[in-house]
Amino acid sequence: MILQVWRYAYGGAKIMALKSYLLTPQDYHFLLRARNLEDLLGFLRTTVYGPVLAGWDWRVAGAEAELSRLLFGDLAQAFFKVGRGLKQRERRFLQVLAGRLVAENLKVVLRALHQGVPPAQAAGRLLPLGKLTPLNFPAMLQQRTIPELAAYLAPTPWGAPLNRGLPRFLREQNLFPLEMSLDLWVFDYLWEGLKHLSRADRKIAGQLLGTMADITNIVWAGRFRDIYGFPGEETYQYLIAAGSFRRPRDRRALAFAVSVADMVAHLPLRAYQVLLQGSAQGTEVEARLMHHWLATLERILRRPPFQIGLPMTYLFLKELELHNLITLITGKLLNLPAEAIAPLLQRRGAGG
Amino acid sequence: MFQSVPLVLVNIQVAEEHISRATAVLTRLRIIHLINLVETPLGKLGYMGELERDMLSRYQKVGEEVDRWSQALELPPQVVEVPPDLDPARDIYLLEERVEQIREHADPLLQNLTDVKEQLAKLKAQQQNLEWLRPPGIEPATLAGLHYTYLVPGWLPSENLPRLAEALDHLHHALLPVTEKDTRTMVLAAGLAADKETLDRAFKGAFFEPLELPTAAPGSLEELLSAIKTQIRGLNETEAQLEARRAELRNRIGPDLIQIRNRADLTRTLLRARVLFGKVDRSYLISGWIPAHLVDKLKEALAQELGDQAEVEVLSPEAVPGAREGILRIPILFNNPYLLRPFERLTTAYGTPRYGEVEPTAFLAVSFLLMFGLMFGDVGQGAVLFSLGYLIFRRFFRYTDYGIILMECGVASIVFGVLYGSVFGVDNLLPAIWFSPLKNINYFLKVAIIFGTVAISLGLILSFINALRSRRVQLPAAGLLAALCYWILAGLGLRYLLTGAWGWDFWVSVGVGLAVLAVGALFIFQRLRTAPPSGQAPVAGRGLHVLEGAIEVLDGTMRYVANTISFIRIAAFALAHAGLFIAVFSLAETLGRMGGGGLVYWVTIFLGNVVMILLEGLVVSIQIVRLEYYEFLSKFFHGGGEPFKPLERSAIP
Repeated sequence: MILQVWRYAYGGAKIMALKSYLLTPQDYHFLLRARNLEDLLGFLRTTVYGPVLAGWDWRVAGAEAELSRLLFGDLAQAFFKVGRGLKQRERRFLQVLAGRLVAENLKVVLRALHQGVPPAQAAGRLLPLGKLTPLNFPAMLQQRTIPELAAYLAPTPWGAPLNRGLPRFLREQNLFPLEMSLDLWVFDYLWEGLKHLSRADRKIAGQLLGTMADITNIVWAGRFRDIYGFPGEETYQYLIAAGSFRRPRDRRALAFAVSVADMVAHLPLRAYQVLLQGSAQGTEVEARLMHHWLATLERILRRPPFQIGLPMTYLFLKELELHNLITLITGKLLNLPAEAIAPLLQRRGAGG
Repeated sequence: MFQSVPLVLVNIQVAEEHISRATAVLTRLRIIHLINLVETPLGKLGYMGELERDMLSRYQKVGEEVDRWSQALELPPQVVEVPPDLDPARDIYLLEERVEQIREHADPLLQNLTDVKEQLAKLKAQQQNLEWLRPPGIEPATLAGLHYTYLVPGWLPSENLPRLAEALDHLHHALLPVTEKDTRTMVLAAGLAADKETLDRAFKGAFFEPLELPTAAPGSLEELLSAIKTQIRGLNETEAQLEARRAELRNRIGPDLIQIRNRADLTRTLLRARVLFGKVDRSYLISGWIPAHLVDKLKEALAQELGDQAEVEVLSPEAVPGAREGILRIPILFNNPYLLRPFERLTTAYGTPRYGEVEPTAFLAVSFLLMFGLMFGDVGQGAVLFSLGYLIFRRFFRYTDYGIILMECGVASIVFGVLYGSVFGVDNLLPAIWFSPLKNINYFLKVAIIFGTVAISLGLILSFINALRSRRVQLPAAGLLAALCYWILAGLGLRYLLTGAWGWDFWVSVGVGLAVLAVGALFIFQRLRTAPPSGQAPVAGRGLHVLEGAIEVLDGTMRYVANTISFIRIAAFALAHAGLFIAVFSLAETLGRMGGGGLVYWVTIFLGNVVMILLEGLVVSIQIVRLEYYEFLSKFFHGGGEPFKPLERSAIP
């Protein structure tokens, strides 16, 4: 009993300690005020990202890919650090959660094979996931074609989604079906992963994943309609049957909506209708949804600490922070003013 | 054995036109550990290596093409001897020309074969698809001839079927499941021809794969199937002919491909090795460490290949300024007999010894086996360990080292088993030549303490030897005094353990006097030999210095005593081993009496021994490694050395 309490206390305290290393609003203020990239990197050296970015040279070719690699390598480390303080079943769930990163790496491999990028060059774009996954990405890059890759992955859980999209890929010579199949499978995988958790944790994790599925559905539906021009019949197939879109009629309404206003009017939850009321464009919808996501994470953080929501929230916040850093650094590389970069950042009201 | 192989630095100077042959000789001999000259003072003098990227990529391309053919011709990789007449700048033209000739023959044939195989696979898939249409009685010609209806058979993931139906809810459509296989369902999808585009998009989204049918060919289903079968027969014959030609091609160009691959590999190694060389104008300088006893072999091989075109300079480590100052690390090449070599893993797991430092593998190996024997002494279990080790040694070549270690542990266990008189825990089969652990617990504790004292003393002596060998390190006075105090205490303790006497007498005075003299002489000798340190202790802080020293002496002495007591675990685990035997016998007897009879008794004995060998063997090994690392090695071993990595064909990727 004492041991269990200690484990819980240790895990919770560790995550709270890690959370305190997240960038504060003040950090963001100074990062935005940096005169140039050198300045920004100089400030970052005073934060937890100092050792992570040590040795990164923005002047060399492929610096941006290397930046993503370094930062997301830090995220993989965060998964390990958080996992060490948790129980076996929670650790297993975090590993399932890391499936999103694994899918990103698989997409890198798919793009490399499709475009004929040499393995050594493509390897530089892989996120260093270490022991988060048993998959051997360098060996995958050695495969000559995508069908060979699918055959190589057939004995793993990742073989099924790839093989599902493979015939369509071979017909269309377009990676979209493979990437879509991977993304849809990852959501199924996450949902399956909930089984590992206790009933209370399952509820909290389910809420978080449900919100994530809602946001993904709304964003995807908008992009498929406005950018790719997909008909509702096709979009419907790509929507995730989770969160508030579990009922077919809600997904149909979303897939067949003809405009942003039509979509907002038919959203299943009143809260989403209020949140997105008056949005004219997809970008605005996405920005408001991101704020909603941050608010959801904040809400989970305010709950009692002994629950799976805490490590999940920390990892999601860390991921957002990494995206923010990439935005900031890319913005400074392009010499964009702070006013242009600031709206692109997903920041919490109070950090630390 | 107690020291690594003595190395010398060789500087080989050759003209640019001979560098390839010189490198090829070095690669073949595999005796030189190259130094990157750019990182040495010579680098600052303008000796700069160069990486010929273009040349490397040309060789890489040759290698890749040869690999592709080797794979297509099913040629296994093979390493063959390549003559050292390599000249990368000229050879590449030769290799590229040969590759071009092979390409002319190989590519059309292999491409033809691939095409035939693809065609065959496609036809077989079509045949299978047509077979699927048989049960519902659908004619392909009917499907192609529809004007107002869109009818398409195909497969989709079973879980997507309801989703597809939901998406098409507002359209006239029908989805008729025909059959199921694994996780997929074959569906006959029907709708209005006017909705074809929308239906196709929905099908795409559901990962629906339409059946590929030979729609262009006229005829009924049966006629189509018969035509496909005829085509497949024809292609099978073509494939067989092409396979025969492929086998003939493999016999013809196989040896050539292997030779080209090996030559390209060796040349790439050579080109990459050049980055470590120094170059000024048209002269190359190769610098590296080689075993001192192989200098003549190197000179001879170079003379044979290059005549007098290579200038070889040999320097002892003491004559190399960088090495003397510790800037240039001298690599270490282990020098142990065959039976002790597997224990090098134990040493390197702790750290790589520095050049000139005492090489501890022999001490580790002997003490490991002694402690293992003491803790796990049993003739029967030792024999099992030996057999297991022998099996690994003979069958699993990758784990030969572990096989040898297991065999040696087995022998140690057998020897101590004979001394203890124990065979699978039965102590009345053999007489105990030395003693029986369970009957002589106090005696065993004394043995363990004596063993510990010897091990700690050996560690201290080795640390003094290391300090004496190094001219840069002075023996610390506090360390010596701590050792002195420890030895006096250990002497008194051992005297008490062996004789029961506790008082101070003439012989104790003699022993202490001798220890004081030895340590004092050692201290003075080493002080005279080494230069005084640059920063002398300030005169004003002398009192504090003495106090610090006194604390260090006390701390050191206590630590050594505690380390010695730690060796009691040898006796503890040996007793646990004997105790476990009693437990296994008791359990077997109880279970046997409860109704199992003799069979249950022997099964329990057998399983008990298996568990003991696996579990206790592991625990004992962990305890020994702990004693070796923390109590013994930490006394004298500094590590931080660099392993000797000879230049060889695959050494530089």
